[in-house]
Amino acid sequence: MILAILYKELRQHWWAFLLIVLICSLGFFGQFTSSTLSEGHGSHFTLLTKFGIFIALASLVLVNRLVASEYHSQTQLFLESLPLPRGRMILIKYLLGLTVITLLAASAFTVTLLLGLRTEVIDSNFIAYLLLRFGAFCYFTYCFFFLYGFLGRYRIAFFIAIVFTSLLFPKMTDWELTDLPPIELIGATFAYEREHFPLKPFAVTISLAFIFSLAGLALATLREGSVAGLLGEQMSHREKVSIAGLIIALIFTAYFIDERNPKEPYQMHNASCVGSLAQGIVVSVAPPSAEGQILANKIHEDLTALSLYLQIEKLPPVFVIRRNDLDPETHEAGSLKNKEGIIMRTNFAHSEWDFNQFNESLIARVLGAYSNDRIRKEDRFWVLDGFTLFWSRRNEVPQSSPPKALDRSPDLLLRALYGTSERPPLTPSSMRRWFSQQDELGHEITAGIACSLLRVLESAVGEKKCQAFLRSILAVKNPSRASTSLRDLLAPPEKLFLQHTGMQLADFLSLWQQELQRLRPAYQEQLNTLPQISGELEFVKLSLNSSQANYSLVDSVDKSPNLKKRLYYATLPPFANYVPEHLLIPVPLDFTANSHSGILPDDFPRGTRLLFTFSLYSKALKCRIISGWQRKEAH
Amino acid sequence: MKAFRTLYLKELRSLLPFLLLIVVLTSVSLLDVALTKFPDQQTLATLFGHNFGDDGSIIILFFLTFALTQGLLMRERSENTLEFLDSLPSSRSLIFICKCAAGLSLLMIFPLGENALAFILHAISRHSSAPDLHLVFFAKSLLFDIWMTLVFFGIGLTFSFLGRFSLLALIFVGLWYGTFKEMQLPWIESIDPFANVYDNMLGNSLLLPWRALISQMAISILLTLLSWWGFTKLGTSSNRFTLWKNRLVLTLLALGVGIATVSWVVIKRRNIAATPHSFLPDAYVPDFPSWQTAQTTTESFTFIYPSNQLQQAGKLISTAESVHKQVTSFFKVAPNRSLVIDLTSQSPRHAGTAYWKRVRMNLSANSSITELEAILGHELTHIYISQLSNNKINERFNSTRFFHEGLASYLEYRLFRESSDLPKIRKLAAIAKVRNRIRFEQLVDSTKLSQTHAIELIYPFGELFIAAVVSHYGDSAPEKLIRAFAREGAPAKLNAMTLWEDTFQSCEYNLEEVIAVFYELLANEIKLHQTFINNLPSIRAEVVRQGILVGVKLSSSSGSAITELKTEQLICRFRSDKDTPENQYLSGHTDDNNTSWVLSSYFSGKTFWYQVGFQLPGLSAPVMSPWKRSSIPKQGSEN
Repeated sequence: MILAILYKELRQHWWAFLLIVLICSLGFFGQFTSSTLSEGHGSHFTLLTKFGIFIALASLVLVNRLVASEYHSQTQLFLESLPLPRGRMILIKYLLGLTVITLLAASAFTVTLLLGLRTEVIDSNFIAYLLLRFGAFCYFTYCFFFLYGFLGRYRIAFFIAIVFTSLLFPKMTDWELTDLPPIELIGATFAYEREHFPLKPFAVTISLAFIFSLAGLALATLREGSVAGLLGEQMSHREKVSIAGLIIALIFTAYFIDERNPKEPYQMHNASCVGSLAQGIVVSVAPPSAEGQILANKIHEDLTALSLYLQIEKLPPVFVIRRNDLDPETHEAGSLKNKEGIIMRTNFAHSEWDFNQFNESLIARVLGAYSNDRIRKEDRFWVLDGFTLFWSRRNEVPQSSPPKALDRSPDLLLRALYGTSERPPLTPSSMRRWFSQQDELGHEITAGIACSLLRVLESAVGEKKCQAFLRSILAVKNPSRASTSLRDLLAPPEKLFLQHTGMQLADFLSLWQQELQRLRPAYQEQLNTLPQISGELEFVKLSLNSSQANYSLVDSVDKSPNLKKRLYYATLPPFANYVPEHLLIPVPLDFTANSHSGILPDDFPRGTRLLFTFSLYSKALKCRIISGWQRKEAH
Repeated sequence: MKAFRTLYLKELRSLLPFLLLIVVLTSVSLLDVALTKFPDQQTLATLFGHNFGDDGSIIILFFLTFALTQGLLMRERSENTLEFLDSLPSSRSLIFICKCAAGLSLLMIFPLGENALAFILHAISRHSSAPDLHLVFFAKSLLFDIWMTLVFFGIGLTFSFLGRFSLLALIFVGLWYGTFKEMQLPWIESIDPFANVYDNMLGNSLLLPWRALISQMAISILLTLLSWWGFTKLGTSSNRFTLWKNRLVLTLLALGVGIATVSWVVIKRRNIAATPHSFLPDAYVPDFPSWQTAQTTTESFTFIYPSNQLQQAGKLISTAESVHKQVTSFFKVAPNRSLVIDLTSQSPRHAGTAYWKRVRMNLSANSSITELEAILGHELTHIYISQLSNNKINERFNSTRFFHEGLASYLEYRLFRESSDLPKIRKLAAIAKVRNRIRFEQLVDSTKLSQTHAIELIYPFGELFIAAVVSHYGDSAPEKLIRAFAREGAPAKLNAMTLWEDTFQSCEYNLEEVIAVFYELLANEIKLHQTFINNLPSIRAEVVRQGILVGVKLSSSSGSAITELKTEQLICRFRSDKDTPENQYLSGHTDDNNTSWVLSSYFSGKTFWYQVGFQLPGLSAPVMSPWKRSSIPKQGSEN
């Protein structure tokens, strides 16, 4: 009878067996060819690792043919009517499938061994290790799918759950797929390890394989086979919906829990540290030194005052690293993707290093991080732009009375006057287009304009109202979700301005213009000596697909040598309009000449988008003046 | 028409579970934005910065299509409803059309939804300096997604006839495609439906690779027609597929076609390699040597070498233990006594490669014993790095590659080369810093680095980083850092800077301090070699076309011919997209006019990448410029 069943199975499935063997053989050959061509293998036995996927799929197909389709079409009822115990019938199927898999695995192993005879150190120990590891993996895989075959109508749901678990679990935990014992058996060390046998993963794999086999046999024989029969039936509509809903809910939950996990604070060892997480402000300066400690204290004091002013309970921890290779005016920002904190790199030991200038950058980053970069949205960016100067220069002694007059910082006032000369007056609409202003004038000039706005606001409505408005923009919590966007849509900066200051923004802007006009005559002579700078950059074809970039600088008015004349340029990624400061390439220009032309050293393929501007440093303004950021494409 | 509508609606009803799945998948993207991002700060630049188009959506689209098509036709047979369908006053062809129409209608929801979401997000996120809606781009993106849905649909329909074998067959086909890609046959990428089309950006314009798309669509149409024919024959009395003879014949036929295809491909590949100016370096020609091998065992090693290179091998065998001792002394570990050194490698690209307890070296490429010792020392360092970290450091190779190669290079130069050789590698770092403004953050992501610059930069920069570590924390620091990877409770999902911050912190070291020292060392090297750097030639490249060849003409930055370098010192390499693996880069053939040529048919898209450089004596590797992308000049636009 056993032989008869065996013969029946072979007759029924010979075609499937043959196809599996052929596909796996060709697959093995394909892997061998690919491996040889890619020079990526250190040992021929890595082929067996890759062949594991074929073993898995062959097992899946085999079990589908031998078990799943039998129960799905309920032909097992016929078999159960035969004078043969149910368990024996299942065992025959189990052993038949196992035989096919074993033949496949053995053939692959033998061929690999033969291929490796020339370049492998082969001894009985090593072969035994390989055989046991590969054999255990194949056996486990087959047994897993054997059990899987009996799950009947829940197979698909189980499969989806397995796939998503293996995708999401490593993401959410420290567990990785390669940690699984069966995977570990044929992992990275499989083809090379000849000393230490991975006993624990081997034992776990074999044990699991036995358990799966027994579970499969149990399912098949439980309650006289009725359980397996029931599982093999079609899923009802209600079942389908329930299971689909459950899986989807689990996926969503797992995904969004992971996304919304709060970041842990970054930690820095061996640094001068001030403050604590409990206090809400931590400042660390590395490497530890007396100078670093002083700086840490100063920053901590300033941030404490900032948090009080804006009524922010907790600011992101700040880490400052000394970098002796940087220019004193360069303050680089580090990136902490998965941790909370701000890293700033600066050359604070340099004699020309300016704390206020550094503090501007720091404040911008701290508030940006606190707001989840919400504050960088264009309609409210002028507030941040101005506040960095407003805050870092708040303690400057007024030049004249009354105190807190607009002209207490002459350079900032000059920036505001320079930036508003011969330009349309600012309106609420242009305030919402702040990035365009920055493009034309440069960030430092627009910051000066915005700072003067805040100073005029403070003197016009009083410190409390000004503070309230600043808090409503800079200190509000901004959870990263659509509701924040909706909240801001319903309460734009103009509305908040009116709400907290009692003034319409348009009216305030008129007031501010008047104040500037009042002060302009006193500074007109200085303004007249400030340089204008302009330049052009054109692409000139080298060939149909390549160009060179010719630039020419013309500046006027100022005949005295200006410091740091530069052309800044950078290649833009698709759709981008800006690049981080550190990606801008500076081309020094002849500071003694008023005109200068040259060719950029690079060549530019057609389609390259270039961002560029000419700039020079103005001592009077204490910042750069630019010709205006432009974007051009090489055609 | 009425029959079509009735059947179409019937098919739609039966596909409702897929509608639910598609809606869920589309909703995931929407909910992701709604619950974790600011929708009004998601410009196209932001989306592109997050790998727009490279985020797996094309894979999802494929599997969605595949899953839907599996049951579309064959469900009728498995549920025995074919006879019912045949009883309807509609032809099989009409039923087939209705099924396809229903399936495609549902599938289109996914690309429409994804593109609509991206468009809406961009539209509401625009700002004054970037006001453009980029309608043309979105239209092309949608067209591409719809096109690919149709391509995948035809493929899925055909595979559905294989039933439970479809997944196996799919992997099989994918494996063979990968093999053909390794063979670097021209045109092969034209049939790759997963090629990242968004890599064909020229400025802000998306260039759809029509040649590839039409090839894929043609295949899909053929497959769809085949499926239509199969469906019309399904279950008919004339269908004798179940007969064992026919099955055997079909299987043997499929096998025959498969073997014939593979043979043709292999022969074609060899013919290409054998052709002069075939633009394929020898590295890509698999060679199966006929010489015998011999083995020799020492205290720690078993050497395998070609028996006709006994003398050369003997030189290395006699000094290998000494090399081993120096490496293990640095790491303060007991030497491993079961290492295999395979000297039979023929790869001209790699002097040596290291695996777990096994090293492969190309004995033929290096005749000097000093060189062989240095390579062995380098590779043994890799082995001990893997061992000490229990292979954990290799599991995050993308973020640790610079450390691996850096430490291996550091020990190579410190222990096995003359001190006068050190500038050969350090100068490269100085040049790359001055010319390409390489930053440390780029080193900790070698995939991104290789997309923009020469991956070989990890050697000089890695070596300098290790020098910084050793200078700041002592000789034992590298070993301590390596062991930190294998510590209990080490987080497994960190990478790039966060991985290194965590590793340094666990050793109570400060990464940022070491980075500061690294930049100081770099600044010193720049200062030391400033004159050398200033006198280096600047190479300019022009993309040109000549018939079926695409070329890059090299000249000096002034536009004149390069006089400082000989033709053989100039290097130009090509690749089809930014993710092309290093072993698939193409070397151009440089003519006497310093123009490097390659067959245009290697590039399936409308753009290609090129990288130029030069080799100078006194440098351990060529000086390479960043990768640049160019459109492929049209044929007929010869320069």
